[in-house]
Amino acid sequence: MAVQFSSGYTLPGGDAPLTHARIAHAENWISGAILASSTDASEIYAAEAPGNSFLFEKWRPAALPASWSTWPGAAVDLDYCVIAAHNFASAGVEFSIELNLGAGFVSVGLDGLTVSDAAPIFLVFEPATAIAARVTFSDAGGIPAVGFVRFGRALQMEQRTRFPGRTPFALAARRVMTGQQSVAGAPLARTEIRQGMQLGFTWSNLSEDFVTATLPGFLDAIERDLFVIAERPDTHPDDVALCWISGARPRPVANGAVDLHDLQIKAEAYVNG
Amino acid sequence: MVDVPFSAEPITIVRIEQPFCENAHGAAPCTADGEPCFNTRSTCQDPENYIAGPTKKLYFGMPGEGRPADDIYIFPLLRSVSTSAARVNVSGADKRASPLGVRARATIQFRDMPHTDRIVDPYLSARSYDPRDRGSFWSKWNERNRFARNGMIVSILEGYAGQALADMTRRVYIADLLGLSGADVGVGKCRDRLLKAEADKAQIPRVSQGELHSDIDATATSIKVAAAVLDDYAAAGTIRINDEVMTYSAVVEDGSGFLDFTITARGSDNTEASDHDAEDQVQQCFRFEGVTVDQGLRTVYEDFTEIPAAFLPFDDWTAEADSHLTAYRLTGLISEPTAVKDIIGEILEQAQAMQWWDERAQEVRFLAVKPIFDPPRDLNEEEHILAGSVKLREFVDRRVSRVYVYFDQRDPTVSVDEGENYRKMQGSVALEMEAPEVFGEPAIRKVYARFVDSAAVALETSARILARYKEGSREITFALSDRDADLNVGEIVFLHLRRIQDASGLVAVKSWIITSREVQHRQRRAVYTAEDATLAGVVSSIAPDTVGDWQGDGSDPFGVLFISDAAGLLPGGAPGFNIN
Repeated sequence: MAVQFSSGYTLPGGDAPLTHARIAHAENWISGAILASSTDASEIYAAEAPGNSFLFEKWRPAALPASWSTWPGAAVDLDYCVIAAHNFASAGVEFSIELNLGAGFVSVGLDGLTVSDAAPIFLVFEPATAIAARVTFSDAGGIPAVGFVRFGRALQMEQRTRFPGRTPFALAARRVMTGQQSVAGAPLARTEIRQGMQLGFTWSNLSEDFVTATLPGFLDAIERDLFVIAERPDTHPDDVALCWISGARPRPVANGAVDLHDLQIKAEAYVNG
Repeated sequence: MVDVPFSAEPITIVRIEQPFCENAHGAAPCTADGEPCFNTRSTCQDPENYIAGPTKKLYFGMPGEGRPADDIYIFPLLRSVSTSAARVNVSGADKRASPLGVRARATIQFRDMPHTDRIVDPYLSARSYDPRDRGSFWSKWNERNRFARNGMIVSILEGYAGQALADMTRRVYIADLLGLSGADVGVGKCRDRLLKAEADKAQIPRVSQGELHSDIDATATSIKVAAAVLDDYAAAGTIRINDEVMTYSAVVEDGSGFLDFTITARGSDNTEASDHDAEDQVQQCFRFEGVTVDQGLRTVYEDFTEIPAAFLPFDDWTAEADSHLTAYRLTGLISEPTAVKDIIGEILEQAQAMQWWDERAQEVRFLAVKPIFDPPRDLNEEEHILAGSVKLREFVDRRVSRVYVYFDQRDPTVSVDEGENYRKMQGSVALEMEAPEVFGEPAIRKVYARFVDSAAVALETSARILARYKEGSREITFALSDRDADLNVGEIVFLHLRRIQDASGLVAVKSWIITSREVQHRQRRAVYTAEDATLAGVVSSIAPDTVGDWQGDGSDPFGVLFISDAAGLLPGGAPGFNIN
């Protein structure tokens, strides 16, 4: 699983098509009080951990069933939950997403989910106004640990990313393999050195309105914090990554066609596990 | 051979053991109140009740690198780890180094960044601030641990992604320095545990504070000492005042704050009894009285260093001494505080032994410098030695043609490095190596052996050094993949190298003693240095009839000599064996 739509999901009117990237970032996800049903007694786990961007810090419940919730302090519009730095697959856990619309938590059509790997998860549901959001874990499977959970209303990019030159996310990890061989040439060992995952996204023909109204907040957010991108949720649902920009802050550039702009973002991405 | 995967991702974890108070802030016996401390001594608000509990283990890893299997909190702040290997000094032949060898060192660099204070702040939930908004990890940690950070135990754990920490190789060091370096860098400089024997304060005997209460003449047999307590002196033993050594049978407190010594011999140990003045220092002496080498070393380590006994495998030392140093007995007096490392170095040189910190076994090893007893491991260029790693160096300056061992010290208050201060000398000489057509000049090595009082031992020492170094010394550097990196310092290996040949051009298989082992984990290899041990010889027996004839193709059993023909040649014309 990478992108998962809620059961019976219908694209809201006025939303960009699902071939356009959905992006969760620090300007559109909520923060607030964090409550966990329980937390493993080991000092290496904390309920607050999934709410910060230190992916090496994790929350693990003491027992199942369990829940982890965010309370922003006011009603907010939500349409996504992103989860990363988790071990849901190896724990074999079953989880659900719920919103509190004011009268207790209710399902958003993302129930009894399971995953098969440690990749980031981008869960999309129809927009709702809620006072709290939570992830719940049934008592099926082992006890999970998770380092990154966010709820919010996703940025919808005005255009699709440019397709030529892209690399499927699953193949974007950079690894350098080196070898040791004997004087006589016999191979004795192979060494793997990780060099992260490098991704690039290019959008062409972004309108002046989109560039001036939406990009400032988006670029500010990704400059200071992580972001999660589902590059083409409909056609390439496996291409979800938890990213941070590398190098200089991206700048939109007028491409010479009326008032349209291009934007290129170079990012490094979290390598699962 | 080590069981390692052919293809793997090496990972490095650094573990710092941070001292940690076992009390809870403000809970009895801690009487502190107000803003909580961090359970460290330098943030303690009730130092009288600070109780050192189990250390807090902080794990640091490289950002983006794989994890071990263990469920641990890893600070992704590790930037680099570099180590230099410990090196043994076989026979004390390298005069640039102590006979105790060269200590292993590690330099570790850390990144700094804002942090949640999780793990390091036991009262996180009680803080009125968000730690991420205040300072950075290392700057805060440095301040919170400013009293104890130097001297902390630092471990470098090396293994592979997904491997359990318990299965990784662990190298242990003591921090010389843990602190800040540059704008966003923390740094750790560490040395191996023998650092504890090299510390300036590690002296044998310890400095005695006592001083004569009043003047004494050259015949006094009872002396009164001020400015000292009973614990400063042994119940009976030897003391030194100025250049006179004297023995005593008892020391008691006199009820007035002074110590009374009952002197049994003035001017002992070949010194001269003389008058002394009030306030002259009264120094406790240390005496070896015919102890074995392992016993002597044990006393030095146990009584005069802070190295925990867990790292000192005395039983192994005893077994080695019992097997190979039975003739060696240590006798002698140390009359003034001397660095422990120097005393250990003297013992090792005089007894022809070596010691080093074994990073893998985490213990101080002890081996006699001896001929080869067990079949060495064979290493060749086809299966073991890494391409481009072999380097050879010749050390002509280590050649000796005459070895003189001075022993039976005259006066323990005089310099140990003067031949006149010894009654006797034994020497071994290889005049043939000084011939014009050989090396053309003598090469003399003197060993001042204040702990040797036996001519036979002195001769044995001189003979062992001469046998080993009469042609100088060769050192080789080579690298092995981690699969073969269980080879340890002190081990003997046979190296099959095409570059090392006999006069006819055939590969000459030499024996080498490993003198250092430097792990380069990220390259999955270990770099070794070794000294040519061929001239040290092999302890062998003459082949019985059942063994058959000499083959000379590597299939002949180890440690077996074959009778050569009347011309001194083996089948095929190879030169026969020599018995020394």
